Amino acid sequence: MLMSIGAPSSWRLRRRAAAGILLLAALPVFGHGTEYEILAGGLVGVRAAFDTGLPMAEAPVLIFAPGESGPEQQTTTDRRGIVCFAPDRPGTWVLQIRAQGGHGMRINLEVDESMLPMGAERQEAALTAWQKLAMAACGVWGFLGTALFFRRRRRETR
Amino acid sequence: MNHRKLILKLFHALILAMAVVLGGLTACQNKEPREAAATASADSLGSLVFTANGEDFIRQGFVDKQGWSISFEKLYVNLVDPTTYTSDGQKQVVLDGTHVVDLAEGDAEAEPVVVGAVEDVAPANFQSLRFALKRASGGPYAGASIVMIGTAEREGLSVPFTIRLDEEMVFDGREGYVGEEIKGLVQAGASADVEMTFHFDHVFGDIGAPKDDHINTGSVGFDFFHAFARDGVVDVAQLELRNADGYRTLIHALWSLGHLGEGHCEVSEQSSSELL
Repeated sequence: MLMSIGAPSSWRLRRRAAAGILLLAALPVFGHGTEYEILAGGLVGVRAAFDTGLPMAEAPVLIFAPGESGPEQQTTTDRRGIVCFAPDRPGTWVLQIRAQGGHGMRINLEVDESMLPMGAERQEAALTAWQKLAMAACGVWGFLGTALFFRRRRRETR
Repeated sequence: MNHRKLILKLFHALILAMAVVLGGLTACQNKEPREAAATASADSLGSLVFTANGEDFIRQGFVDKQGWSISFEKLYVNLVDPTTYTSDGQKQVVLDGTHVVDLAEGDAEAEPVVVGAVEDVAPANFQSLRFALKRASGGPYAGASIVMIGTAEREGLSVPFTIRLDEEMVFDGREGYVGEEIKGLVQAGASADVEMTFHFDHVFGDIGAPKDDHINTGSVGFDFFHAFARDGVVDVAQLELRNADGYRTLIHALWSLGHLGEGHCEVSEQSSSELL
């Protein structure tokens, strides 16, 4: 599940990409009079601005998960035009940022598996109910079998 | 002693069986996506519907930057070979041919106009869309790529207009649709749509937008066309507008007509490229 939080630190994409942090790629900006830069700092952060340099402040943002036609999250940019989110699966995430006067920006962000922060949790979540049941049964049988084995052994040694 | 060995063997056998079952279940789960991909290529196809949308400006009318209330009876665009494609360009779907579309079709609440559909499309994300506006080769408006027919009203004056434009251009929206949903996402057994959106407020301006907004600074308004009225009627072709002040602004506005929702398209192959 995504969450919206405050602005991350403001390294520019070039610095961040060189450091190999967070985002792998971002496709070019699309929209008239708009531009964006990707920030870093633990989450995916985007700062959107008009080509005049003015931030797209408090603009509605729709965030679409990979392969989904409906938005996963609706939020707004802050007064600096910044929006942050935490992707929970790899693929192309789409951000649509809309401002007054028919300006629209779409950003297609390629998110890699290595960028997801919840590796262990996701692995656990990937197990089915049957797998979990089988694992639990194995555990129970292990304890029970071992106890019975030693109990029997004690009886025989008496 | 034999009894103990038997219990031990039973215990080991059961643990082994559990491990095999668990491994099997995990393996089955991991194989699911691969199996799904294999069957999708065989029999799970979708379809793509191409639509064109003049938005509320065309269906409901609007007030331009100079105070003219403009309503459209017809607004024809001559679309050629709309082509939608995946972001990597590996897959594309073409709606072949020439399609004359009336963007004013239907009532004020009408849905975007269906231009055509393509069946048996392999599932993919056809997010990008390229389409051309070309001069019609025949019909009542041969030679025109855009025809606007309607009425402009201001301060008791009502001016019927027919404006024939012959500007040719290709719009390319690589990044995709900007709106309430993701368009062009074809899934097995389902229909998806892609939309060519036209922003005619770029030509006329919008009294509701700030004066310094690009919608108003980059548009000509109806006054530009009204200057060519004869007997209270505007019936004009692009050729007649060439020497008018603001012609370059008009052409640049036409080059910005094409959108995917609110997402802008790049323009190329303009017939008036000398005005770049």
